[in-house]
Amino acid sequence: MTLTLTIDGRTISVPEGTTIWEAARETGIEIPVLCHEPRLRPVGVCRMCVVDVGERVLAASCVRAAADGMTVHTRSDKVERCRKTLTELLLSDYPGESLREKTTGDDLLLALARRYGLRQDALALPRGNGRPQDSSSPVIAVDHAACILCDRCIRACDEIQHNDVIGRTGKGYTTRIAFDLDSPMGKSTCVACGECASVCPTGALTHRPLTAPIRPRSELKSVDSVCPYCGVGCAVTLHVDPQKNAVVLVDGRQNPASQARLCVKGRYGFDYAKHPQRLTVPLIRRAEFYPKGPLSSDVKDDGRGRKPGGIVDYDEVLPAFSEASWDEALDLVAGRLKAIKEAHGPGALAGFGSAKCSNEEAYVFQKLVRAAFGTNNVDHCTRLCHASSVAALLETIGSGAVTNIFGDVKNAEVALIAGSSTTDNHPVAATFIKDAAQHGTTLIVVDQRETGIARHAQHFLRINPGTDVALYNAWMHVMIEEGLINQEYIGAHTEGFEVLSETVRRYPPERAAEICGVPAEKIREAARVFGRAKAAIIFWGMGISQHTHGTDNARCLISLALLTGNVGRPGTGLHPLRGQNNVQGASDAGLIPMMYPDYQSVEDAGIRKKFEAAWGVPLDPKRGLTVVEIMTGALEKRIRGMYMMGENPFLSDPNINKVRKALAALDFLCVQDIFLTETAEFADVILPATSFFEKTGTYTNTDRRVQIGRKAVEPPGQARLDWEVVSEIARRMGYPMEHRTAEEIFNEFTSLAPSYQGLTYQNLQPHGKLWPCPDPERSDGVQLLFGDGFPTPSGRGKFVPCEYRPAAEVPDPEYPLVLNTGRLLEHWHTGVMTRRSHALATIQPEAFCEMNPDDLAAAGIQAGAYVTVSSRRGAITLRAHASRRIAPGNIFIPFHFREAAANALTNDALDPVGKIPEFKFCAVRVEKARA
Amino acid sequence: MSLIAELNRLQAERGYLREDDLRDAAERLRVALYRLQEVVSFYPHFRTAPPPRWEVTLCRDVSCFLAGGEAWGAKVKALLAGEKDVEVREVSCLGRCDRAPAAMVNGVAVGAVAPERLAELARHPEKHHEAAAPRRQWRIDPYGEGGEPFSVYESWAQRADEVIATLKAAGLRGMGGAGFQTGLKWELVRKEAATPKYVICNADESEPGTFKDRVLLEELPHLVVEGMCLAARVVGAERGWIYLRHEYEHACGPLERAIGQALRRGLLGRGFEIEIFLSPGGYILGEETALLEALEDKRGEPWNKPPYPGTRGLWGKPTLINNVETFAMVPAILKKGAEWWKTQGARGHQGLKVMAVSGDIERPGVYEIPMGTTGAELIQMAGGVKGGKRLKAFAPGGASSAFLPADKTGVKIDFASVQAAGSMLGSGALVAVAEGTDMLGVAANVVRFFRNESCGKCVPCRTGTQKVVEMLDQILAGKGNGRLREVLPGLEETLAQTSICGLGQVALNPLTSVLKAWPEVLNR
Repeated sequence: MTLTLTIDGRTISVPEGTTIWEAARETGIEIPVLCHEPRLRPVGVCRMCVVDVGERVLAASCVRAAADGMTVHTRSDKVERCRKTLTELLLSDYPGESLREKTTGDDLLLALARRYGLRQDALALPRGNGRPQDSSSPVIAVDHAACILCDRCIRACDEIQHNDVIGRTGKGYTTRIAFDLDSPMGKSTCVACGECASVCPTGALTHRPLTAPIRPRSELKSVDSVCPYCGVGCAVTLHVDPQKNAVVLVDGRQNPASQARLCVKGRYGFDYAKHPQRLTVPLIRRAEFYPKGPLSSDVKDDGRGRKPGGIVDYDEVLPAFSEASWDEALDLVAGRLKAIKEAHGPGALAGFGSAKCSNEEAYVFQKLVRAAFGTNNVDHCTRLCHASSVAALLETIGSGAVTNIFGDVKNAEVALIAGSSTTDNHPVAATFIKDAAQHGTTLIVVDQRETGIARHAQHFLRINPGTDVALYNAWMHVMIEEGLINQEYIGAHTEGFEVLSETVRRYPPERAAEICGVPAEKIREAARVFGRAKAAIIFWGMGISQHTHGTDNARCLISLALLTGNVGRPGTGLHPLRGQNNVQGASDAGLIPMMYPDYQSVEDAGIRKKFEAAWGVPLDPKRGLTVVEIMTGALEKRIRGMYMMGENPFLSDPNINKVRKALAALDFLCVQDIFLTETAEFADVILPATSFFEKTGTYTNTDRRVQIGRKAVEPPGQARLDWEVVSEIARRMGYPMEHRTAEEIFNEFTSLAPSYQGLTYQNLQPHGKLWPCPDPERSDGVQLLFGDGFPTPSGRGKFVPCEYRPAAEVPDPEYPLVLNTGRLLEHWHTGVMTRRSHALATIQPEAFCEMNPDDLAAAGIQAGAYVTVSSRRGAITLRAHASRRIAPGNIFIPFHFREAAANALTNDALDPVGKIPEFKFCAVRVEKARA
Repeated sequence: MSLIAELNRLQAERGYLREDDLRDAAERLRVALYRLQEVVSFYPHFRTAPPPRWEVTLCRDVSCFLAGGEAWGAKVKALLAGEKDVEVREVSCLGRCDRAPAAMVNGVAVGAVAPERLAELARHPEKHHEAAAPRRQWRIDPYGEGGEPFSVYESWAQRADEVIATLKAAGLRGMGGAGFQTGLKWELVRKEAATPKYVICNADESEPGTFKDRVLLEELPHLVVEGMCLAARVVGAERGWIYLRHEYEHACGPLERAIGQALRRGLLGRGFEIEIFLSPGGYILGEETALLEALEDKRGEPWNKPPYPGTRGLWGKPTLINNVETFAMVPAILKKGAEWWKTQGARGHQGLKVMAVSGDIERPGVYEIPMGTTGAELIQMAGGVKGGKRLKAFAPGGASSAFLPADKTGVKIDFASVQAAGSMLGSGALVAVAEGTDMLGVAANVVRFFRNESCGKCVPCRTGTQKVVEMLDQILAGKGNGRLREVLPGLEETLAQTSICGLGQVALNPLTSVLKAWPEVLNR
């Protein structure tokens, strides 16, 4: 229903429910307001937006609904007098210097003061509220004196990010904002997402400078881009100080996926690009530093004993290398790789690309390996995250990507979050899941740890590690037994139901309860909730995939969806949350040993012909080796030469003591990166690359959204674009690659990748597109896949029944605890970027292991003490943290920290199908560290 | 209500709220820490430090101020200084303005005693019991001269539309301050389609000078309960609450007895229940939407209206909220009829009114008067101005009503008449001020009350009241008038026009009325 009202003499019709403020805005009348902004629920507390609607008192236009026949005056004398007095009242308590005006220069209260001609030093009212500042957060400056209690930060924290940290303390005039139980911000549960500072209209909450002083926005250059960190792919605007050649501030940018939200990494983790350790010239290993081995120490003596150290100490490493010209370095790389190929065959070469690089970089890299090296031995870290998920998805539904976007959780009646600490690993996606939970979606969280997202769940099942198959088999048992399955869907779109039901019949909840450690009744309850849902969506993370039965875990989740017909409709779907910012794209671009771009099999002769024609050379007909297989191959001297672009397997791969030997065993290793990583210590040649902010390219997020990341600053020293370096090596190996721009590469890639067909740099602006996108001029791309069958030979989704199998290495008296590894919100993978970010490194400076307090007590260990954790493969020393989030018998170690590398402990046993290692399960022992 | 209930329980158990207990409660109730902080820091009842053995609270507001409360309080403090188990602090109006200056010792009221006696009671509180006043005859009690309590309900419970028609015909208006037509309000809530619905009795009167509801709760709890039960039947409510200020905790006894009787007679327990919710404190909770926020475990901060509680109230459901006195009047009106009710007024005005009279008055107390009684008559009923002095001014409707000079005592006590005289009937509390009183001091006392009780949600009230208090304090301290005269009109207009709720809208009224009637108070 529409209604018609008159605002300042203009007649306007608006839909019912529109506020006066919104209606006015539509007619071009801006009503001043401090406490409101369109992303937030209006609260009407600053009163600046009052208007005259002919009632006894003025009405706050941001909260008052427009009514039919209403006559509104937005700037009558009375209204303006009141606004001026309100400004004067706020100004009388305002500090002399506003941190917002001083930095971004957009203090809204001071703008109002100027509008009303008010000067702080000439007010008739008594001055000041005497409230303090709080500098405890490394990223957000808090000035309570400048707070006008507009409530924006509180709503941003609660209702946008759902972090629930900020509130008000006190009453009346003594009220001020507070964090938790009135802790300093930096000591509170604040996760430093910065949403509060981004919505604050005054100098109360402001971003602290990280690279260079923040100057007024008008003096900065703004570049629309995306976040370099995780697969959520948040849209950002980078604000660049051109004189300093530095990004100084990052804002969330409105787009359909992230809706201007950011997390701590995206908002404050950009300064790594300006870190003094950036590589700026090519380096060649000096002759005296052979045979190869690690160069930096991971343990430092701080004078009070040996303690884990920090990032790589360049003083220890650089003497092993001499600076070289690009020509010298590239000739050496091409020459050595060519020589190995000639002596040992193309199969002795391998390349690791990176899911941190763009689609264009991934595409040229795999092309180099396939066309110039002549092998399919090309892989990247996707192998370590969702290889098993993709294997299961391809096997069952014929496509490895998500069937629906994460944002559609809002339409789900039930959302299952399995093995995903979403708030840590996909923080912005988590905000949408938390949103949905608040608005009626029932969350079921299954995890071995009580994760942040579990706190928002109505049903939290804390299972024993590695027992997912038993749990979901039991769910399916219950669902079939109780008729909570979609017979019609099963009949129309699936195959193999009989075999599946045969298998799950043997998994009554009572049996699963024994395996999973969750009461049978709780299993039944959750199965019923899921089974009865009209629309259910499934998210999963590494807790599902990183097991020797990771493919089985994923097969079970897929079966759940097929059994209930939860694919292809709003609020349904399968969504493996992708880790790296471009893990979807790097895989799409062919950075995997068995597939050309767009999952076209290297073993299919017809397809191979197409690529041979496109690339002009004969191609290797056999699938290549995967990440861990390549490392094993190096150890066995089957692999002799490697080129790594942006990968750091020395920290990211399981059982790094073995990786260390493998890297040292290589005849030749070229590492191309922005910092001298632990892996680069084993390199013969190190090539300085460009960081995310220094180049343009496309990145495909977890939703299949292809977005453009744009160059914002110039690279340091002689650092060069990654794709240029790849092309140079190809050329010097005798395979010319003539690309002039990233855009040209993109066009070549899309011409070979049907899923990307039609996408261009032009139509990807401004918000990117979901692939597939049959009508890029008019549509955002296809959000829901497989509403009507699957891209499998039969057109049906396949049930693949699985039996429960325990992990490869189970606890025993010698190693009685189960180690789980993973990430922290503040850090990214091997910490190469995040540990060189001031904010992130300050918030999470050191390695730790999380243990149940009862286990700590039983071992006689104080929380906070150093412990040594050992497995059959290695030992590390780090601090113990006590947490009830983790069940007795388990420990958790984040794998970012080289000085206490969790992957020194992990098991490199592989899932037989996905070839993914079992990062989430190995047996360890914890002892007090020796002094 | 689970959160505030849990905080009450923890505080009752341990004496105060320890940080560890709060963290533990947050974990158990699965609420964010900040929500506990918001609530604990907002309500004066909650404490985060160990309590003293004996807590003496002294009222600092207008009736007690007029009774020399400042000097009296200073004396009490001096007498108890250094007493290790005793903590003395000043609080907002205790609702014992009839025994000014008023105090409480561990929650039990003590009034109008010498400082030495109060100090003695603080040291030996076991000697002290709050004496019940002799019960009086009430015209609004249909069972006063016999008759079975709750029998009105039995004959009217099935006649919802007639109840509404009778209340409308009687012209009964809400007695909490706003004076909304009661019959109309009941009808509006009755018509709402959403369910469940709720009925709330606002027993949170906290405005300085106001204590009529306290006496009604003590003496006529059965009428309050019966009125609520009738309301529930009319609007179709399932649950009801009596939102009782914690300083009136002693009224729980009579109320619970009345609830028990109603239960036995079948008014309750068959689709309608009443619970007593003890307010964790603060004048603002009397504002009906702030009250709802408190029931929802939040800070008591008023809403932007619309929506009104009748359409979207507690937990978003239609909620009927009436004042104690309003509910108490319903049984008599139904029993004796609208016509009878109308004839109870004087001088052509209709119905009865319960008024609290305090300040400089001989016999402060609660008086049941015909609407249309003049101010002068009411003052006479209460024995005239204390000590035979002449009247200087009076506030006819509590601390938020404008002060009227003595020559306006002819005003008839009735919603429209008092408004026409430049003030308001407000919370039904006449505060008399004797000749010789510094009206600026009185006005400052009242503004200070509103500053103290402002919830802090909106800018004009939160900051405006503070700035005016600071300026008044300067003037009273003899440091000159500053720029008060210059800024007051703008502040008065801005608070009145832009504050979210009545508190801010009227906060500067009394001061402006004083400066208008006695501009010379600024010549100092």
